[in-house]
Amino acid sequence: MSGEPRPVPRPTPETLPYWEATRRRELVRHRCDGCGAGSQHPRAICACGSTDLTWTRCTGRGRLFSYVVVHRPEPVFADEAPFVLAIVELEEGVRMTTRIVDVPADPSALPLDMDVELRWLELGDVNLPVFAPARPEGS
Amino acid sequence: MDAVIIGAAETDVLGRAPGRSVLGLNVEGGLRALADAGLETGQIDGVAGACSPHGVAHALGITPRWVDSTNVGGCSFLMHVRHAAAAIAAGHATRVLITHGESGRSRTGTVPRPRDPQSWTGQFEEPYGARPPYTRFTLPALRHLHDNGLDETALAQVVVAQRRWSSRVPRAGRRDLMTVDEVLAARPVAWPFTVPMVCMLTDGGGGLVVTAPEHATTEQLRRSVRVLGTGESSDPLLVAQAPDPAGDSAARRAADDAFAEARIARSEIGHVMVYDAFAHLPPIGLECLGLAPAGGAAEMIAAGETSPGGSLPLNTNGGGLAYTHTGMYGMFAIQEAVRQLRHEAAAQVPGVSTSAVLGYGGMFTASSVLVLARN
Ligand SMILES: [Zn+2]
Repeated sequence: MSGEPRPVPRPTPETLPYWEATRRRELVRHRCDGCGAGSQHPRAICACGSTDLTWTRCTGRGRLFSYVVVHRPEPVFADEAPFVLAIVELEEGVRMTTRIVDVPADPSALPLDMDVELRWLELGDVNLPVFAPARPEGS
Repeated sequence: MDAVIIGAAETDVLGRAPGRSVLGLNVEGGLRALADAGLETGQIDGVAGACSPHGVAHALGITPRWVDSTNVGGCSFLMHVRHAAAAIAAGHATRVLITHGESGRSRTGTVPRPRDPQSWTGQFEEPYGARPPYTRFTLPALRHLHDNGLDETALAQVVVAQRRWSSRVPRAGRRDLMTVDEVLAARPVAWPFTVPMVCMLTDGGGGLVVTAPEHATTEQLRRSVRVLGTGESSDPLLVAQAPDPAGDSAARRAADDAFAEARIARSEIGHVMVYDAFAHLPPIGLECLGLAPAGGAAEMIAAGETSPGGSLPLNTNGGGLAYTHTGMYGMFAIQEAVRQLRHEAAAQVPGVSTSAVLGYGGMFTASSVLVLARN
C-alpha cells in the first residue's frame, strides 16, 4: 500500500453543478441549447458558436465505446484489479471515461457497443458515475 | 519553410542513468548537439524545450533573444522545430537550440507531479483509476481494432515488425526478436496491451540545432536536414472526448498542414517515424499521415511493408517500444529521422531522402508532424 488516499474529484466553480448533481444521483451534461451538442465537462462556447449552455440531465443509458482491462493499476487501486476502464458513449452523444462494473473483467463478457446503464460509486462528498451492462427492458 | 537542422545528437546513456538529473540530461543533450553542429554556445540565440529552457539556457551560459517552452507532452519537440523555424524566418533568432532530457526511469531531479483533483483529469479520469499513460492513451485502441475487423494480433504484429529494426540497433533497449504468439502471451498491463506493446521507461535526452541556410556554413549544410513542412494541432484534454483519435484528430490536421507546406506527395515519403508509446499508434499514425488507407495500416505492417526491406520503413530505431522512451519520446523520433537522412543510422534504409515524423502528446490529445528531407 502506498498510503495515498483514493483520488476524489474536487469541483471547481465551473464543474460544481456536475458534481452537485451526482450527490442527487443525477448524471448531467453541459448541453448547447443552440445545436444540442454537449460534453461531460463545462465549456465556455460551443463549437457552433453558441454561449447558451446549460446543465441538462442524461438518461444514464449508453453503449460501451471502448475499454482496457487494467491489470497493473496504481497502488491505491491495487485491490480492485483487474478492473474495466472504459469510454462510454451516452445516448445523448456525450463520451466519458468511466468504469464498467457488475460484470467479470473478461473481454468475452464485454462486447463493444453493448448497452450499458448508470450505476453510482459513493465517494464522500460526490458520487462517481459508473456503468453496468443494461438490464433487459422491464426487469 | 526554409529551416535546416544542422546539429542533432542524443545523450551518451539511454536507459539507466541515476547519476544524471533532468537538467543535466538536457544540458548534455544540448552540448552534444552543439558539438555535432560545430557551434559554440555564444552562437545560439534561441532556446526551446519542454523542461525549463530558461534554466537550460542559464546552465549553458546562453542569453537568448527567443524562448519557447511549449509542453503538450511527447510531441512537444516537433512543435519546437516548427516554432523555431518560424522565429528564425521572423528574425527573432538565428540559431535555436532545442533540448530534451528526462529521468523517466530513475526520477533524478524530476519535479514531483502531485495529484491535482481540481484539474480536468483529476476530476474526470483519475478517480476511476485512469492516470498511468497505459490506462488513458490506450483507451480508444479497442474501438479502432473493432471498427476495422482487427484483434490484438494486430498490436502484436507492430512489436514483431519493430523488433526486426531494433535487433540491428546496438543502442536499442529491447533487441530480441519476438513472434506474435510470444507478444500475446506476455504479461498483460492493460488488456489488450501486454508488456512488449507498451513503451520502455528510460533516462536520456538529446538536442537539435535549427537555423536557416543563410546562417549556416558550407560544412554545416553538408550534413544538414531540411525542414520541408510542419503541422500541429490539439483535441479536447480528455481522451474520451476526442472526436475520433484514430481519424478526425489532431494528428490528421497536423499531417495535412505539414504535407501542404512541404509540397510533396505522400508517395514521395521514404521513411516514417510514428510516436509509439503504445502499439496501436504506428498503424493509426500511418493512417492519419495519409500513408496507409483508413483501416489498412495493420495489414501493411503484418505483410512486412514497414519492416527492413519493406516499401515504407517505419520506426527504424525500434521506436519507443524497443529503442528508448524517457516519457516524452518525440526528440528521439526526430533524431532517428535525421540519422536516416544523413545516412548515419544503425539500421540504415538505403538511399532514403525524405522522412515524415508524427508525434503524439497528452494521451492522444495533441499532435505535431514534420516532413524532412536530405539537404
Ligand atoms: Zn452548439
